Amino acid sequence: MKLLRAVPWFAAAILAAPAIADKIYVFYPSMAKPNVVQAALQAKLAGHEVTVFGRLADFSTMIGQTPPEVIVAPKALADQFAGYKPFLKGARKGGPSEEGVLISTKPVNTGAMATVNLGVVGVLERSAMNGFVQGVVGAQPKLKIVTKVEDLLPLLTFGSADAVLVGETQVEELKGRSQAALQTTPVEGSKIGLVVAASKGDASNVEAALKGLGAAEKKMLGVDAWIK
Amino acid sequence: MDQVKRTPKRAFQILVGLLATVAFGQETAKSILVLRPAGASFDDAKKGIKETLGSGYDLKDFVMTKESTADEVVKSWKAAAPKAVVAMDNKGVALFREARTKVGDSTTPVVALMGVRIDAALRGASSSAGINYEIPAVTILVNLRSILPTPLKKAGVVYRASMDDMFQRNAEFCKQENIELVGIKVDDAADAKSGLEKALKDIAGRSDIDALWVVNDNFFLNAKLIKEVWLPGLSGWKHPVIVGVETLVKPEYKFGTFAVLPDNYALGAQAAGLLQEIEDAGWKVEEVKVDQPLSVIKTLNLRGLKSCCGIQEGKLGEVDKVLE
Repeated sequence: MKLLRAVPWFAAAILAAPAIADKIYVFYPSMAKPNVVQAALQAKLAGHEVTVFGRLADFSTMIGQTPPEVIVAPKALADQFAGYKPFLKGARKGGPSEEGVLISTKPVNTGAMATVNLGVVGVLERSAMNGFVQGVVGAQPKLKIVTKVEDLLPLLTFGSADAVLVGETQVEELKGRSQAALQTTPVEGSKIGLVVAASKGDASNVEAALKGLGAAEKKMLGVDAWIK
Repeated sequence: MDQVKRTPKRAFQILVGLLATVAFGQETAKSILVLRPAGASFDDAKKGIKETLGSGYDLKDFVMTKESTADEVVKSWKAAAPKAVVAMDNKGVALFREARTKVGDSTTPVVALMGVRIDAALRGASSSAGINYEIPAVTILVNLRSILPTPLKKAGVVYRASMDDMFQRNAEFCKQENIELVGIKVDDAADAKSGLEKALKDIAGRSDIDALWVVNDNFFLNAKLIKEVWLPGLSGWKHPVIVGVETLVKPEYKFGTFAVLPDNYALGAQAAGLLQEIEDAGWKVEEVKVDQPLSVIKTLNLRGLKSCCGIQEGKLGEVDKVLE
């Protein structure tokens, strides 16, 4: 009798869980620590296996060693993995990209960016970052590449960089940490691709789950919506 | 400006060069000699260098022991023919300097890291760059301020008179972030215990100090003084105590509230950036250049912080390790 009573619960549990558990790798540098982002995403993506990486090299290495079904990463990085095709684009204010913003302690001459020491978080390997930044600021500044968003501020404090480049999403949280007189200079017309979700094959399960993320989890990925 | 003459001989040389490149594939990886002690911290730093530089560089690892000599380094140096040397720890820097003299090479650049006062260790060394290992107060305090629910305007620190340059430099950095570093200087010749007791009494007696920064200095920071001076001196103090040693932030010790340590992997990545700047300059450093470390690992004694000051909602996610 007890066994019979348990059957509907068991069946319901099976139906509620995704048919196939997909492995999802996430890389998106932000102020929040990877373990915190991972716990938040995992709670909302139950049935899938979420791993959030804090280091670019670990993300790239693991994709080579134990390839996941889905990756979630800044577009420029996701594009480097030819086997993965985007099935969702992260969006803010309706668009899949955001404007680049320079933060500095002194005014930046945007007309002479090639002479600027520019701090930036590495989302691509070092040599590729030159091309990425050139695409955003229209020149090739001397780059100071850091591994975490929070490390951009010390670059300015210690005078190691004249300015740092971030997407507009990260301006407030970075400025919010500092009481220095920081200036912001939008890079007019620039576009930095937000995160995308890309897969090797059918990702309908993950797509539905990602669309179901709450505002807090989406914010952790720097987006407020997903678009096709 | 001299012009290269496009003679048939020159054209032939270029052709041979191009053919050689095609025949042998890529250029040979650039050799970097790494002098370092064994241990997880140094492994992490080396990993940061290697993964940041990528495949075009060949790191030749010389793992030092207490018995390692400059002659052994010379042997590795000659075998590696490095474009640059990375020296970790003060022993690594000392061995590098001694070996460089023996090799008779004053131009191969060095990047030094993970030692005490790297700036002092490199003094007088030509073509040298480095990264200090001591985390500047401004980095520590900005990180603490970002999780505190109350303002952090002044931070106290006890230091030896001989470290006055360190204090002044840190005070200047802190000014940029609107934080005043209040230093209590103790003479090097003074008795450490009584000097520390008096300094702590001064700090604890002031109502305008919002945090205490405990500098890693064996003169003041040892088991005896922690038990006999620090703990009793700060027993009624209701502000965060920042330490630079992870064990001192364990809640059961009731001492440190917040620990900030170097992120060794990121330090390696930062060193890799310096190496690439040096390469861009033709594998040379014109003036000794010592940068501040940029990246840290933060450990919080949550019980301690809650009992003294509280924490801003939603800010725990910015801390690497939380101890309860």
